[in-house]
Amino acid sequence: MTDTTDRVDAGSSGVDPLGRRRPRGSDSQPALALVLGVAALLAAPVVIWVVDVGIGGLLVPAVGLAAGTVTKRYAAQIDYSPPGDPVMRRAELGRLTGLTGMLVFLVGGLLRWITTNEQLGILQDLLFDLGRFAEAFPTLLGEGLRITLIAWVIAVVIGQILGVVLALMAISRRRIIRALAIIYIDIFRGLPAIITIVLVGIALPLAGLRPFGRNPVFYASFALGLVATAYIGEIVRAGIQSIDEGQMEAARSMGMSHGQAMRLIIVPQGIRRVVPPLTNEYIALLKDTSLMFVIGLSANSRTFFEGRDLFRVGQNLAQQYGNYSPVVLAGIFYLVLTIPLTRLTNYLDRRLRSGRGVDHTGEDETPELPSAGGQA
Amino acid sequence: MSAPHRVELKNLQKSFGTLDVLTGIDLQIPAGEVVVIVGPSGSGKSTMLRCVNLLEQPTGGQVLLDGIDITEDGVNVDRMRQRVGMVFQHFNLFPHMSVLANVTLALRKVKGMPKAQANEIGMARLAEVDLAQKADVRPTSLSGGQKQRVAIARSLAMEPEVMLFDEVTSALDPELVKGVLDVMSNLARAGMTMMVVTHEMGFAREVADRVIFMDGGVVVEDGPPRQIMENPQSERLKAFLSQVL
Repeated sequence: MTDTTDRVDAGSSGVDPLGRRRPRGSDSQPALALVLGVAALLAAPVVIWVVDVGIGGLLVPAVGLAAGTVTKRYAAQIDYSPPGDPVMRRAELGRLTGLTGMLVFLVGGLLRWITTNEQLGILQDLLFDLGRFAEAFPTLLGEGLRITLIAWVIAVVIGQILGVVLALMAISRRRIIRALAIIYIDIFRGLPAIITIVLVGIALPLAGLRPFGRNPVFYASFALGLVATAYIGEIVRAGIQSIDEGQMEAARSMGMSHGQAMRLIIVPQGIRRVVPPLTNEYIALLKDTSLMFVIGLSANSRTFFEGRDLFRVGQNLAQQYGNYSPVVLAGIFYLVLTIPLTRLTNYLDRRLRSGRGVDHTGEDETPELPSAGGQA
Repeated sequence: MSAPHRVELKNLQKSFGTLDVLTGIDLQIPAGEVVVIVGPSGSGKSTMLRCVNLLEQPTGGQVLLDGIDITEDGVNVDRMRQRVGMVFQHFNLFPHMSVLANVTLALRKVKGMPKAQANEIGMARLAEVDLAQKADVRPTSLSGGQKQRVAIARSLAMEPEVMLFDEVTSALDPELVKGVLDVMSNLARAGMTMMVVTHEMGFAREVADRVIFMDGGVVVEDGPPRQIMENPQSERLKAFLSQVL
């Protein structure tokens, strides 16, 4: 059905610039799509509240969406139909009404489920009890967050410093030093972090080796630092090896020693190149501090460095309350820490990829970023 | 005998595994001489140049600087390299520091010069290559020609006695070549001893005191530019010149 007013509106509708005519009869399809879409939109609430056919009710608005989408594609590809064309407008409207119908159905269905489901009420009481949140918050903040951050910082500092040393060992010209690095990496990357923590935190003190006194937080942080060393070592090694050999040659040709060239030229550039995977590793470490509970943490904060981490505080309070809201709140604490870090990683990654901070010194090499090395 | 040659190569040999790149080079370069080395690719020009500051360790023969054999054990290679500047095809500027820091780094870290004094020298060297206004930018933002002039200034800051140029214009867009060659001509006029591997025959003709034609790891012809270019003796040089001129 081609109606004349539409033709006037659309100007060129019906004939494309190449002179192709829109196939006869195709105008009725968008109209049908529109009808289906509107019908779906209207039917959605009825289906939910009156008929209650569960998830199968989605089919009703889905028909409207599908009809609109298919028609629009068809109109755009087969015909010459500019966006303002009334035929296209009808198809688009059919698609939109179908889509809205689906949304109405989903949201309505969810509301209906929430308002009628008793299980959900129990779930909410057990996991999202605002009163328990408030009760647990001070301990999570004052003890849990403090210990988690202490352990994290210690592990990151150990991992970063020893990781660079390990990276330099891994590219050493001496085979024996390279072999040592490979053995270290194989062991500490291959062991589950939890086993390393148990071995360092329980077995060492039992054997009479107590380099960090009696505070389990230090043993756990040190163990995590050893694990991080292996990962960070591999990341930094990849970064160093991605630096063009000409950098070393230029540095040496000016009279720098191999060590000076490494320290001033190669390592700074190598690390800059692997900042995104490094931050990834830091995030993984933050989460892994929650493993320290396995060596038994004291709820006694006699010193600033003693106590339980976020997870352990949450777990203890959950047992005490008979309610898991403290664990959920501990999880929220972790998210508040890790999500900004993830954003930072993405930002740094984009910045490095867009060329700021890295340079190709005239060569058409592409800096190969080693893939993210998170273990958790 | 008069003063020793600034650079002298005696039966210099270099092999990479089973590949013999240099099969016996003898060369004497007096102070202040500008030697341009030409030859087909794979003839060993760059390898010879890189042996002069031991970026490549020779597998035989000797390299003498001012009469002292630097290939002997016990020679302080880092100290020797302070006297031999080198400029590379791909510039090899340090991208993580400013242009001025590139020029002053070795002054500060190798010669132990205070920062203020190093900066003064650095700015003077940059002014000589007409890039003082770029002192604070990162090398990334420079054109290829500008990068190469910074690389030259960086080498000159160490006040070397010999400068090695390894195909320094090969990676440049044609319109940027002249600026770099001009800097090198000025340096030659100022009396610097230079060994220049290049394909720029015009530069060889106008600036070189001597042109050396290498092929197959040996020096085939050695003489003033006019003689080499206008009166080649060997078939190999004739063939080479017919390719490049």
